[in-house]
Amino acid sequence: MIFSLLIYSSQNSGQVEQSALRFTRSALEQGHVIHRVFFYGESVSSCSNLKVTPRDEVNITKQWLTLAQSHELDLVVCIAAAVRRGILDDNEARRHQKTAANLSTGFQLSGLGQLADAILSSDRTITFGN
Amino acid sequence: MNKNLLLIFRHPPFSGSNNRDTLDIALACSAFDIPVSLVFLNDGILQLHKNQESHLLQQKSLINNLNALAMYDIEDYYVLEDSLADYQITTQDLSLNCKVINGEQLALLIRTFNTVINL
Repeated sequence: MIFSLLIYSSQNSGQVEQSALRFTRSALEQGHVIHRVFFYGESVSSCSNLKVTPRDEVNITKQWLTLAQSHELDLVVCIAAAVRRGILDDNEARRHQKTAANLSTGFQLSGLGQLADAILSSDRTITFGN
Repeated sequence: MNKNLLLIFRHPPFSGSNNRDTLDIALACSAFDIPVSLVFLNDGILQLHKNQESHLLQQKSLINNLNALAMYDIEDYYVLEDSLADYQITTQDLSLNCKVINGEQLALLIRTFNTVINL
C-alpha cells in the first residue's frame, strides 16, 4: 500500500513525531511505500539544523534523515508554515534578506500542492497531529 | 481511485492556526480537482459566527476566506446540530449556508470520504 503522512504537531520531538517515525519505519519494513512525509504547522520546526538536542534525548530530525537516506523518502516542509516560523532554505533566506538559512539538508521546502499530490498519489494519507 | 476530502474544523477562531491551516488545505486540494467538503463541530462552529470583531484582537478574520470558498468550487458545508445547541446559535448566525447534521449523520458522512483531515 502507498502511504503519505501529514505531520502537524505542536511539540517538536514529542510523541506525535515519534509515532509518525515509528509508523514510517514499520510500514517500510512490511514492504509498503511511503510516498511523502509532509510537515505542516508547528512541526516545521523539527527541520531546523540549528536545534541542539541534549545528548540523552532522541534527535528526531536525525532519525528522519537517516530513514530518508536509506529509503529515499520525500520529506517536504510547507514553505508558508516554515518561513513564518523562521525555517529558511538558501533561496528563502536570500528572498527575505535574512542572514542565514537553517533548513536541514534532506528536507525540501514546497507548497501545499505537494500535500494535494500526496493525497492523490497515495492509498492512504495519515495525519499525525494533536 | 477518485479521491474526495473531508476537512474537520473543531477549534474556535483566534485560538491558533489550525483553522487557517485547514482552510489552506481546502484551497490547495480544490486546485488539484479534489472534491472538498467542510464540517464544523464543537468550538469550530464559532469560526462561522457572523459577528466577529477580529480587529479588536488585531487578528485577521477567516470570514472573508470562508465566504470566498464558493469561487473555488467548495460548496458543501456541514455543521453539527448538537454544537449549535451547545452555543444556542442557529444557522442564521452563521456566515456559510451549512447543512445541519446530527451525530449519526456525521458518522455516515465521514464514511463517504476516502480522505479525512482533522487538524
